[in-house]
Amino acid sequence: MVRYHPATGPGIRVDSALYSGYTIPEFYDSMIAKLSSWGRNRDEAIRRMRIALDEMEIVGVPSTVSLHMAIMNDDGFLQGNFDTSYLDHVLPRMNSALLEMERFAVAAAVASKMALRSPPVQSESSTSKSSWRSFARAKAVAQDWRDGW
Amino acid sequence: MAGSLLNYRAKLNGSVYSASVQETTSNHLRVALDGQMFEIDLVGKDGVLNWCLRSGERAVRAQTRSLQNDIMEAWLAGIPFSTSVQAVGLASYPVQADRTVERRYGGEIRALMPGRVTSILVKEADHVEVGSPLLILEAMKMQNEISSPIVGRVKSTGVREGETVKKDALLMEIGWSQTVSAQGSLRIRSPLADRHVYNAHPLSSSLQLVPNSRLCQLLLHSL
Repeated sequence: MVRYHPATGPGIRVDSALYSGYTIPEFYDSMIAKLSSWGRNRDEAIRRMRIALDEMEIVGVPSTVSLHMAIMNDDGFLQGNFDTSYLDHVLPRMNSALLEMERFAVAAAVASKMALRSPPVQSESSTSKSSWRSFARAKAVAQDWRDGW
Repeated sequence: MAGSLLNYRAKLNGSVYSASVQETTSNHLRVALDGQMFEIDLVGKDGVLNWCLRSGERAVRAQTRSLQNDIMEAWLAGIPFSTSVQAVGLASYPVQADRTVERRYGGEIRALMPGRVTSILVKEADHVEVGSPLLILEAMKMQNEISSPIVGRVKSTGVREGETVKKDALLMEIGWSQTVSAQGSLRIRSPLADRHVYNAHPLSSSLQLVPNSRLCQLLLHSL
């Protein structure tokens, strides 16, 4: 596990033994972390889950974050229409999402190339606060406020 | 001031991409990937580089790390994408020889937020490319360089230096060449690109013009 930074926030819970630099033992099943979201109703739980999935940083070991993202945005799932054959319907739809992600991946790769070309502009210890995360968190908290949390 | 601008060629899963990258500040880059614009923020450095990318309505997070031989590994939502990236020199965008680059022609540059025009960097009849700096708009105490999301000639500048503008004010009109105007009304609205929002409507969708079509090539020559 090259980099691991779990999601946190209201109603979010992550059970795992992971940390950056951890080596996952091969003797157990494939679940490396369990992400749960809680809300006063299903919609709220799903909304929080979306934000939490966005916040998960997992580098080094492929994981199912993107599949869960797709499910959290899938009409079938949102309407409660799913059964044991559900994944057979969802997986083919993942392709277009993957193609879109590829373009983002290339953009990120090119940006990295550019960024690494010049000497670092920040000190090594800089893990500057993620404005993205602050934004997502603020959004979640504001929604809770509106809902009279 | 405008940061450096570099061109890259990238390869992922058998597809080849042409990219032009502009480093606007140390932590913000703008990437034109075969015509699609990305606003990219570097939000952290901690062994891996941590990014937030925006394109149109979509915002995506990514972590990247450099592997051997020009391979850059990007992680998005738990999936690794190994992209080979090579610099292709300092030529200005777009790479002339590369016909796969989609260019958008003509349009209006409008203010996305209220502010003050501190300087205008082009004059009428100047030719501008995607990414050419047009003017500096001071808003929220920030000097925002407004660069062109489109290709064309500066038709008119709707503002003077020092002028205060409202949101959606017409800042500049980037026109087609005469040949193109003769085709009829081909003006498109193209909200300006700044570091907060980029949202240009490709001409090809309204005209059903394919980027490399014969007409498009003609237009290209006529500019």
